[in-house]
Amino acid sequence: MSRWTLALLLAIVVGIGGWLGYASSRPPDFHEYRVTAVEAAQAARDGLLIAGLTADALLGGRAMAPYVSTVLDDAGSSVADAGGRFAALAPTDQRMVAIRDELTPLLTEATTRLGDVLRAEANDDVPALRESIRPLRPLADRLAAFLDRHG
Amino acid sequence: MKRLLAVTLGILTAIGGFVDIGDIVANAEAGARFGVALAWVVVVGVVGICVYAEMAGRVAAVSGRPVFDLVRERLGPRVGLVNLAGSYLVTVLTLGAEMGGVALALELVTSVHYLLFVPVVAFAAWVVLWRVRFETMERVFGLLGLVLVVFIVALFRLPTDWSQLWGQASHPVPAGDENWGTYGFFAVALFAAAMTPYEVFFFSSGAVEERWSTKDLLTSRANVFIGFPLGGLLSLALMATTAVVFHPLDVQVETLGQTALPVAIALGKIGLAVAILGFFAATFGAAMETGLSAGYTIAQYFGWAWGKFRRPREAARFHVVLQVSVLVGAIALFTTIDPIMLTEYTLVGSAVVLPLTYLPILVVANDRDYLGNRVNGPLANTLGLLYLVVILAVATAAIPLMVMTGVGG
Amino acid sequence: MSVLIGFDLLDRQIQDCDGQSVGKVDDVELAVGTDGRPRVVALLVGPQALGRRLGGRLGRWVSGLAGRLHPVAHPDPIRIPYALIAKRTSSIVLSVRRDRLPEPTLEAWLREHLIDRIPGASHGGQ
Repeated sequence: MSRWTLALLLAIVVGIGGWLGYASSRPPDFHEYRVTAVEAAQAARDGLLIAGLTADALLGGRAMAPYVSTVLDDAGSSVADAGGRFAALAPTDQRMVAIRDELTPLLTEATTRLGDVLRAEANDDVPALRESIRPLRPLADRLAAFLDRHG
Repeated sequence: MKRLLAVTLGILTAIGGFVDIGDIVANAEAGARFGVALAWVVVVGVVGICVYAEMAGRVAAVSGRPVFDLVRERLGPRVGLVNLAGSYLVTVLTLGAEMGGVALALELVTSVHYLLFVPVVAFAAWVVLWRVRFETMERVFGLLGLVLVVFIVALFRLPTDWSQLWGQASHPVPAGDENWGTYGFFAVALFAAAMTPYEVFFFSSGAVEERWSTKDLLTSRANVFIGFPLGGLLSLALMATTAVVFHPLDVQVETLGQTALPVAIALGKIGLAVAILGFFAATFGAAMETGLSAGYTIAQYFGWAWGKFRRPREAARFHVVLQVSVLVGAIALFTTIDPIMLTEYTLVGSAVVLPLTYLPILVVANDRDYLGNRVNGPLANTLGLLYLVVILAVATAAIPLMVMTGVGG
Repeated sequence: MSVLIGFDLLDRQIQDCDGQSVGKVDDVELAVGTDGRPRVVALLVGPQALGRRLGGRLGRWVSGLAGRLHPVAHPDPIRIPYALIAKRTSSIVLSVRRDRLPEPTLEAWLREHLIDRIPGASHGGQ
């Protein structure tokens, strides 16, 4: 490969790298912020409902522990990932701040509740597991309300 | 009687072997997002693969040579090479996705992280490809895959509203807040999953491995016209169960574990265990098929000795390609990409290379040099051409839809 | 008897008298006969031949890759004299057994250094 081709390739790689760096660090516009918020809310809601269904199945003797562990772990990770992506964006105007103030407590609560379910399942604690499922549905509904308002 | 048994066995193997990780992912996700509104795409795709697999099987049975072997002769070495490059790349990535599916199934049973299983699965895949007889391998995984019928059973045990399902299927429009973009993307994914490129290469090379001749045309047609549609029914069952459980809740399916949840709810632990076994069999069997397809395409382009019917030392280059392909598939998984995500990318890739796969089959199936008077009749050609148009449309739309919707996001 | 090289010969599968694969006709060797007309004197098999025929950057890449992977740097393609052809049907059938022809270097090398070292390499087909 000739030196010129190499230099050109290098320039392209550096160019792409630079652009990616810029794109990921520049402040988000409102549309992007809202879309990330909606995705996070959806992921959280999905995670809560899946956890509820799965834990229910475990309590009803309809599913085995390793399966339930895996599904709950996956639900927990997906909520954490989406929440992390949302938290990484900094709001730059009033509308974004409003969204953040509305969503962040919901996401935090979702993470806590899922944590409760995961812990109860890991400890084989049936009464705790039963307890931990109860707040899931109402919280999911509140996230659904958020989605209706901003989706 | 013995013949009937053999044909039945062939059909059962074809049914169980139809579903792979692409079908599982595409159908389960589509069911959760659209109910069964996209069922028609699966039907269209299944008919398509039946049309073309019949041609591929006929070519192999009558000429004794598989389709890809003839691509270079008929379309020239340059076109053949482009075809090879595209097909091989997509096939190897699909192999990675299938092995990922096996690892995920094992994770569901043991709750050990799936990446730890990848080396084990890759090694097992290589051992089976090295030593196990072709027919044995096909039969075992095909018949085991039949247990996916548990999804049909689950459908009857869930509070399924059949009239509602029928309503969704007969109103093929995006509901709720889904738009035509994601609808289109999932239609492309489902179509590509049903018409997987490696399947026809495998089917026609497999026919040569099993030494089919014109006497076996009946078997070939039975496998294709009875086996594949019933296999397609299993895919639809996956779509319907997630449609019944997840669609009303507006929850998306993103993992293999979630896909099995409807069966757990309907049938309890035994059903769940059977479903996971079905996933294992389907994905491991498909890993074997994609691995072999990768080997077949390269060996047949260059004219090397190929096939499991030969001793490994008599087809050294072929077996090395198999090993390298498994390795590359495993490396793809070691990038820690989510296997489900990898599957979605390979479905898009498959959609794009569909024309490369299917155009040569249509060309070869019309060639009297190879088929004598068993060339395509007017029906086969009409359907073949019709599907080629659909395939070209799908191939062109695939990448734009993927970018537009952020991989169906 | 004239033969359409592009149509009847090039890229066809070559099989020996037992039906074993020998390779594809990657290129042909021509010579000018005593009557001034070109004749095919041999079939050439091997990625080097294919690469040269493909031409352009693609062809150079194919031969280059093959040359680098080979244990012998840039070996010659296998040359099969035209006289050894017994039949030309949908594939080219030779009148001799495969072991009478030089073996592709890559096949031999891989078999010796890789395949034969793994247990089970000579276990009966299937």
